[in-house]
Amino acid sequence: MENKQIVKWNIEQSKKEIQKNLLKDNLIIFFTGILEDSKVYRNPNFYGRLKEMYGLLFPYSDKENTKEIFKELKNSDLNSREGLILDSKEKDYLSRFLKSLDENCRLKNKEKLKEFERILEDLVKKYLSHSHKDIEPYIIGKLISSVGGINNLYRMPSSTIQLIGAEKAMFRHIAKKRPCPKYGLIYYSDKIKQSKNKGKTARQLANKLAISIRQDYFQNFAR
Amino acid sequence: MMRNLTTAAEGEIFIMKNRKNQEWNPYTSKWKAALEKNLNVGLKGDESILYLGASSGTTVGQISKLTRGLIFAVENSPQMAIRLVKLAEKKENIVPIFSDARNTEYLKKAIFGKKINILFQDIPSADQIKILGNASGIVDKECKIFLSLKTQSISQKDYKETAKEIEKRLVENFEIIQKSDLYPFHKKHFFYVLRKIIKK
Repeated sequence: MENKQIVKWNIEQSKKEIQKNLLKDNLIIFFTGILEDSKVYRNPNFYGRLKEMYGLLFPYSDKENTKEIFKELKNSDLNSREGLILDSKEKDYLSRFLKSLDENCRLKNKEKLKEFERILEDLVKKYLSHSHKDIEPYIIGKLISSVGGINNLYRMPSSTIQLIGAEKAMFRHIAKKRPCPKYGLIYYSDKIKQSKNKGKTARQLANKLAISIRQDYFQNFAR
Repeated sequence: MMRNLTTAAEGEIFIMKNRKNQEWNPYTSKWKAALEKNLNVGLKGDESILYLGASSGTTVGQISKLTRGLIFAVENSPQMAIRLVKLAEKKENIVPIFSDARNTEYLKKAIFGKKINILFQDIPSADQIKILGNASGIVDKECKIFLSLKTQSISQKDYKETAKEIEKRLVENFEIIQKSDLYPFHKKHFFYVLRKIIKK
């Protein structure tokens, strides 16, 4: 075969394979990011988050200016050919978010945040139905986004899941022999807050999560 | 035209002449750092290269100016591979392959029997040597093999000791021609120039 044909065949083939590997957990990461931003800052803009989303929906476009991207997303119908393909419900979620923004890409009304929490809960119920019974949707979204995707999370042992978010204390323990941390991001769930023996419940919760995340991954995400 | 880049200074001049967008920075690219360390990793101008662990294509984009042959760039993560495909659409001789580097059957299919002169591997993982051993089954006998080793991803011991342990495993299948530390540019990294041992 000639060189040009080899290049063409490989570009087409890898575009197909990439599209299969863009998973729906990116939507969960997107909505947890919005909730997280609005908890940390007083009135943030969402140009950066929307650019990430645009990169998933239309991966091979050359646009880089964030304001142009925001305008184009508002007018488009969110149908992508080469990127992440959304259902009619998920399109509705995204378009509802886009309508709630003003000209400077900030939220018009802060009470809309409750609506996004409900959207996140729906998404987690649909795609992570087993682990939804163990832990709150916002915390599981944080766990996935801090690791970088469910692809990485399902391979982890339960002891690692227990300590996600407490890496600094963990390495201090290894290097200087300070006391070992008992919990990371998991700490903010209600089960641990209410219990008296917090280290024990953190271990039990992490054990259950490790099983249920694997169930969810092989039901909905693996191909 | 000057094609045989053996020293860093020659490489610098060549890049300065043909520079369009970016400088080739040794702090971001391990191939350039090896050039700075006076290893024999220069290109003649018509090699075809199999590059494992291409990421978003910073090094691949620079190398594509230096050869006329094809560069097969293998990458596994989708977010990085999107940028690699974008780069390949602009240039003529980059071939993006979205696959795991361990999956040698798919790689064989994607290469279409082209003769490969240089195999470069830069995958910081614990089974780095095993991947190299499998991938060297695809390439030719006289192929040069470049390996950039990240000792920290293999064990957290003293990095010189882990490098020695790995050299013992390397000697079983490969002949070590040159080796060097990449110290001021990359910490705890080593670079090897290897050749396959032909077993009778």
